[in-house]
Amino acid sequence: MKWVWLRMLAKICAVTLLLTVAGLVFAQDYETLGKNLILDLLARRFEKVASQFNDSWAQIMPPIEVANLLNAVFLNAGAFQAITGTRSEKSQGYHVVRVTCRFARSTTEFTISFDSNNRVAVLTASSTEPSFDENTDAKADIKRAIDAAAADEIRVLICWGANDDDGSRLFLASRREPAITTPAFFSNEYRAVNVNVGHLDRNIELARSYGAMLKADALPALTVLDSVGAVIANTNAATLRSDANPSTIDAVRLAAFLKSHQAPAPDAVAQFDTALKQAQKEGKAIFLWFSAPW
Amino acid sequence: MAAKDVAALLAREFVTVKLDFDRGIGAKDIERNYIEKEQALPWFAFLNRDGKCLIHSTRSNGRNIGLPFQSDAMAYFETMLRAVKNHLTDEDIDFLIRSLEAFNSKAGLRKQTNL
Repeated sequence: MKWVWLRMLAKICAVTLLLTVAGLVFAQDYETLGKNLILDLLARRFEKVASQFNDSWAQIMPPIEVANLLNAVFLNAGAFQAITGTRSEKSQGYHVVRVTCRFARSTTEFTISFDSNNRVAVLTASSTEPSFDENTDAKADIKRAIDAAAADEIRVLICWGANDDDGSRLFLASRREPAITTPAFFSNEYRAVNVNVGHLDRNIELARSYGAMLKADALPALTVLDSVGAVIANTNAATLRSDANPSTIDAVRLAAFLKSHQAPAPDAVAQFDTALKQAQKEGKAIFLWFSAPW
Repeated sequence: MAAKDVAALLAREFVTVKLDFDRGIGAKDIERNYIEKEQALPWFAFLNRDGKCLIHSTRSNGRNIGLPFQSDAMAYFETMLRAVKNHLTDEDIDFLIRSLEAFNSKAGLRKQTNL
């Protein structure tokens, strides 16, 4: 009887092992598929990339939009340097592959969702959370963020933190929470810039000039600037922690902070009417241009 | 468009108004006055002084040229400028196209045809 149980147990282990190995093989296959797709994209083989889309995604993203996606990445992140990582997971019936690429100015993650027919159901690119760069000119970074925010009439969020600080890392992770991503705070409402303050021994004068609420046990500190660089608000992690788990950032609290200090929505109708009146007065045509901060 | 020499030339012909499609109150309704289907961004149109559309960035094949960088999109953008010009000269338009090509090249946007 004992041997029967042992044999059964051995069979279960073998099947489990086989399934695990098969799972790993499938995951690796999808990772290879995803990586090859991104290599084709980076090589500007847009037709080839688009030929792997399923019908729905092909409607949404014809080859010209694939080209636009890549160009948007180049505009934001600079020249391509290397693929630095690939990982995959199964989610809601899709095999989701994430290919991380390093570009000259930032890191971008391409997400490819494969449907059950191994066709691409979604292809997106997003900038990954930037870390707190130790070698950058923080003052220049803030100036660039202010200029970019001014162009779109949105706000700047300076995050004063450090790479070896748990709170700073948790803050960056909290930016992926639905409470933050759904209102698109970091793509539509704020130009974010991370400034490394080390162990409160870097960029301290700069932080003080903005009134940043620096405390070693309450990093990161956050500063909101308007589009001309004037300080709107300051806070730090101590005010954003979760009551239930004080070691984490409460994304809902963070969302409330961001919402309360974001720039008022522009009145497009008034802007358009003003342009119309000016055009009539000056006898000119109108160049009507629709865009978005992202 | 932000470059001073380009902005000055465009200002001879146009009053430029940039609307935030996502955040601007009423922006989507304004776009719908000129094209039925929501377009990819950026999307733009040249209007006469009464607000009537003269030409927009969606071609007859239904594709928006967006930020023009491909050969055919650049050619269409040039066509748009030549179709509405009152104050710009042919040389001005040549300069604008060259400036756009230089911008695209600097930004790493390469020309792509047959898309």
